[in-house]
Amino acid sequence: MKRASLILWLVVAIATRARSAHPPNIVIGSCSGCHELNGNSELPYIPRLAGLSQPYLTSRIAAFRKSPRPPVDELLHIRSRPVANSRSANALMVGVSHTVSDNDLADAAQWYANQSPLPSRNQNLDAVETGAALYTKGDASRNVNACESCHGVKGRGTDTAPRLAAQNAEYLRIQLESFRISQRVSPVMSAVASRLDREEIRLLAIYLQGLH
Amino acid sequence: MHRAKPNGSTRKVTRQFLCASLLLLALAPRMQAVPSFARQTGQKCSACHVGGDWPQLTPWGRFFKLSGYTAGAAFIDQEKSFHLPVGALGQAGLTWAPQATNAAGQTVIAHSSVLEPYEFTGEVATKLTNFMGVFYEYEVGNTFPGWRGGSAAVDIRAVHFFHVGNNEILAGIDSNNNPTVQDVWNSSGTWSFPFYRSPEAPGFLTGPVISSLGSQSGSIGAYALLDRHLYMEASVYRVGTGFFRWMTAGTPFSLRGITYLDGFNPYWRAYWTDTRGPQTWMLGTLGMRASVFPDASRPTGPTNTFADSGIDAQYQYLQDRHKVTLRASYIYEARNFNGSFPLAFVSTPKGNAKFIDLSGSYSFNTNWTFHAGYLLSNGNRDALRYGVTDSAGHEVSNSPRTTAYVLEVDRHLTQNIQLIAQYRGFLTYHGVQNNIDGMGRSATDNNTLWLSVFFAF
Repeated sequence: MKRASLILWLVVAIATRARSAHPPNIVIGSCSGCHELNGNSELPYIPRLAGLSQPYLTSRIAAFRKSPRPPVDELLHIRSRPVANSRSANALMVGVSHTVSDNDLADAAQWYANQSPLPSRNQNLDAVETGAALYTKGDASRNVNACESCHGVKGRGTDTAPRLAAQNAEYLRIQLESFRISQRVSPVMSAVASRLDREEIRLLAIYLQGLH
Repeated sequence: MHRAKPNGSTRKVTRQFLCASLLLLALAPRMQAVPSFARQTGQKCSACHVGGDWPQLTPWGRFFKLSGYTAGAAFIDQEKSFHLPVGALGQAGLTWAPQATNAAGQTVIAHSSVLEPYEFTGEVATKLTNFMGVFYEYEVGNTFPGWRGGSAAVDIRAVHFFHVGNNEILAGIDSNNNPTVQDVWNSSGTWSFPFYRSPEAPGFLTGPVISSLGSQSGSIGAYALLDRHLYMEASVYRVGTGFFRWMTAGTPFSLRGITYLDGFNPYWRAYWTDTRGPQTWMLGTLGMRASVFPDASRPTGPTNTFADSGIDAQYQYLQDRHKVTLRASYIYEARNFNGSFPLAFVSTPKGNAKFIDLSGSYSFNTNWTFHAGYLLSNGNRDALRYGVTDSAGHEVSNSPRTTAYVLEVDRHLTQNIQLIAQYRGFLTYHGVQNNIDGMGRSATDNNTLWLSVFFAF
């Protein structure tokens, strides 16, 4: 019995992982299912929310709410071509934005804004060279501004643009592709992304994932 | 105790029992999609189901289920939008069997090449409160001939998140009508591969008790998920009569082939899971101890006992467009026929069985999913249960050993409509490759190609 108790205690001890203070219920029961409690989403196509500013997170939910909630019955709706797969991801958040209260969304945004982004994963040296050049210098010949001018030094964000450092590369790639083909529309980002090719987008995304 | 000498009527009863059991296994609830949860969460099916391919679950889908189906909106949400917490599902298909008859011209695989409706199901699946949710299916199934209605999968939960220091414990109470219907992995039990199967295609000759209680039992149990890594559950099941009858509507408990539990029967489940980037893995164990009356039409006297012990594992690699899931399961069952042996339903007082399920799935976007799997079902030899003789009365086999492979392609026309093409090939049947029926039929003669359409709204 004592040995069994010791084994059980060891298993529980191994299972524990340090977490932050008590999150709001909406984060516990919903957001964390994809974005993790600490906002450092593991799945590569799910954005990391840790450290993103509360105004930015709130503005994103507001943008999602502008779209009608996706229909459960798709037979009566024309299927648009699935471009860059951001449709599937955005459709998830559009649906969520319609089913969650304003108070819950505010609580979630505040929680994630206060979380610490974890350093991201391995660096691809090719991506570092190409990505760093695009991020810090842009390309004047193609009217591509340096990303740093809006997104800040080392991708840490500014008042006008979100943090990109340590963001999941696959998510960034999908979003840049969406801007590139105008599936996601932004006056600034659509213009910038349309001047990049797919390989540059891929390397830029990997570079940003490696920043901290 | 005088043991009745086996005779023709006893063998007939035994085979009736076996046939009824196989029939119930074939018609066991297999409805996999929950449109009403899509309305509740506002999300597409692919949020919870890998590649939109039911019933495989994503990490979010697993969490949604473990947290009591409580994420998302109540019936009327903050935008004053009302959603019906119900869904309708249905399935039809066609099974093509190149060798539908045996050497004597008797039908072995019925309805070959005939398009048949299989089932229509209504479901109520919804968040009830912020801490409680329910999943209830009622199915009207084709019994070839005729139709029969009854409860399919039922699962109701109440949950609460506790925070102890820096740690999170998700604790839940669960009641359901089928061991493993509450499980969130697709590696063993109710939701394991193959996720769909033709009701006309030959099945396996024996199965574990843990997979034989659908809509025939009711449970109450408790579970805990520690820091979203370590899961532990303990439940007890009893026969689905009395208080649990609402979960087993339509089940004829006086039918001899019903798996009629005696008393309270424990079930347990534990696993460890972790996610790193696109990779999620799980290693687990499960089991059950069940006492079953040998004849459900007379549920008294000595019982048979079945002790299942299993291990399972799952690996997922999820990218935006490409998703891979690998699954493995092994269940060992120790059998004690204290009830059946004196009645001459079986040849041996004790036995055992082993079950292996290995499968893999690949999804591309939310349009295509490809599956492949290997299945093994084996047990002790038993002339009464599995005996096959030739025309001269010589025993050809008395083994239930069956091995098969399944290849499947799923195509989602929309998120509501899924087309299925499944080929099931048998490597051995009754423990042999050839002469499985004493008349020269081979195991491969049981191979089938199944085309089906499944819809969920």
